[in-house]
Amino acid sequence: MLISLRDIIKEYPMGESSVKALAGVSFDISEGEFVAVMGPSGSGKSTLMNILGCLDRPTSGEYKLAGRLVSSMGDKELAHTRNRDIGFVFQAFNLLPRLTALENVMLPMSYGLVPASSRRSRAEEALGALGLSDKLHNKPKQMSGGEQQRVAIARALVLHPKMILADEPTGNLDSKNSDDIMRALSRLNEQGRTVVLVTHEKDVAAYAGRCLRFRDGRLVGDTVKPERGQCDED
Amino acid sequence: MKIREAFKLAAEGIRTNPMRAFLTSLGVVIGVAAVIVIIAIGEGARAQVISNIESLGSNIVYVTQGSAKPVPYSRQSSVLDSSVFVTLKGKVPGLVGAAAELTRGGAQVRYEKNTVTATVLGGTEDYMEVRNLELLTGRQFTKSEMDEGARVCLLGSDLADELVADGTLIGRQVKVDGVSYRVIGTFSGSAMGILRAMAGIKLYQVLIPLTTAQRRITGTGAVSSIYLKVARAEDMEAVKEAAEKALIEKMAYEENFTVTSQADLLDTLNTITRTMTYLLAGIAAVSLVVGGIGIMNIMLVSVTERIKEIGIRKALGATKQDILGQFLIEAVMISCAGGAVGMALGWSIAAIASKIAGWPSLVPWYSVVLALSFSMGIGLFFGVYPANKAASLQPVDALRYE
Ligand SMILES: Nc1ncnc2c1ncn2[C@@H]1O[C@H](COP(=O)(O)OP(=O)(O)OP(=O)(O)O)[C@@H](O)[C@H]1O
Ligand SMILES: [Mg+2]
Repeated sequence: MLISLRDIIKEYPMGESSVKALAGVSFDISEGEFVAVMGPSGSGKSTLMNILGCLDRPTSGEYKLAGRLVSSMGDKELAHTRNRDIGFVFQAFNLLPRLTALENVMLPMSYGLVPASSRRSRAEEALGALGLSDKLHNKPKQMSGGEQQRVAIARALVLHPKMILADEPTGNLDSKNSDDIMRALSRLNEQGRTVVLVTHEKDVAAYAGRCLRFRDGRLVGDTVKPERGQCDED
Repeated sequence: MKIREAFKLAAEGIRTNPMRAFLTSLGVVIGVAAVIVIIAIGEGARAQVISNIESLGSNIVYVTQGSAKPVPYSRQSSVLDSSVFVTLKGKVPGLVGAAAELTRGGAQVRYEKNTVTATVLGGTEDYMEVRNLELLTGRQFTKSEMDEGARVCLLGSDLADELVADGTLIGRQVKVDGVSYRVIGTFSGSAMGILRAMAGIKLYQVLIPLTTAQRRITGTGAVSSIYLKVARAEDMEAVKEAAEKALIEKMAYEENFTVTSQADLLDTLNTITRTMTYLLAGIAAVSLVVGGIGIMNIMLVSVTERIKEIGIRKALGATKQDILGQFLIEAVMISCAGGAVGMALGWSIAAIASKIAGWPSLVPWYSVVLALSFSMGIGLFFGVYPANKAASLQPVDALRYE
């Protein structure tokens, strides 16, 4: 099992009381799955993704990633896990504005164990696979949203992580660009990589092989191989 | 992340905002420059003073009236006078010369319409030789002028220049406190060099025979100081002791005198100038601390501006140390660059200042090491807090920051 969650609770203190963004969530994801996470706004999808991506810690509960208990990891180990095992794709792209596409994709490698000599060629290869060979030296501002998101995907996959986490990667894109992004993610999944994706759009969710539905911080639906329509917002 | 990359990253941080980095380091630049200049000038001045004193002859023992030791009032009656001088000259072995001097400051020296306030020096025959004074023009006193207390004088070069712009005064009459003297020569001496070098001060002196001075000024046989010129440097202590012994006997066991040597004087001067230099350098170092606070301030701004970047870097696998290193190295680089620029600046200012003042320019190695390590330390000390603040951010919180 790649991901195993048990009774995950995430509370945010709100004055006297607190908000439960996740109110006890348990599920497993095996290696190679393509999972869509859906649910209304405020249902805890981003909170879940941040915990899965080791960007945040749950208030309580057990999160095992590839058999290792994340709560027992120190700062260094967490950083290495984020670096090697997880590729995160954000809705807001989150590229560094001062760096070129190539430099942005090389960034994770400077925190990893990749020898400096092979970094450039690996980054070029990753960008090439996403059809960006002619944009290597463009800064984010000089690219369209779709292109920026593809740079972000190249950055996420350049270290060949076990899983790609994407929080509404197509949220800021039109349908043409969304399709490009989803095809890229599907291809990654076909190559054996686990993909977990948050989305509001059923067209996007249709690429997935499994659908998790959330409401008020709880898992309310878990459908494998959803037929069209089964993963709708209800 | 390798250390080389961390440096590259920090350098990039500086490159993106070079003007800010420059302004940030300005405090350190000024602080380091001030410290270097002050130490260089202090050391240069000290070296100059010492070489001047040494040029007076490093083998002179001075005897002056009064004692640093407490002397009962009843035992302060004895005075240095000509007879003491004669006794010392006769009894102390190992001398190549001896001279007595009677000085009086604030004398009005007048030639035609010009009046200059000068110091009157009454000296014995060997006075100029013992005190390393150089005869510039004219001649020295003759034995008979000495013995009879003739009204003749030699003018110090500064005084002669002041009294008459060009032309010579030799053979003319000048008035010293209303009494006429015939000028027979002019002199200059390394003794004047000290003061002149220190502040461009002119030293106005007029030299007359001791007997004349005693008759005209005090009316007694008293002298202000006695100079004993020792033949060999290694005999200094022996001469000092012999002089003290002879003085105690001669002055009826009253220790109302002080015997010092060149070495004592140098020690004292060294201590005084060093203390002054360190005191001033310490004050200048305060500006370094102010510069450090400036660095901390800007680094905090820089961290706040880059919270999002920090979040992205952390999401991509940067460890706490990576972020800490990035910001700490940036702070240290800014302050070290400031230190280096400040050093160059201080060095140039010291060189120019010493050229103007005529000192040797002395930038001692320790001031360079001190300034550089100090600016590095400042970068570290004032960089730690902002860098740690950056490194401790939770990835989610940093990413959410707008
Ligand atoms: N840092 C925070 N402090 C306080 N409350 C928070 C914080 N982050 C999220 N929440 C709350 O937790 C709940 C879940 O938020 P979350 O961002 O996970 O929702 P979401 O499902 O991603 O919504 P959306 O579809 O709009 O992105 C919300 O009620 C939100 O207000
Ligand atoms: Mg969300």
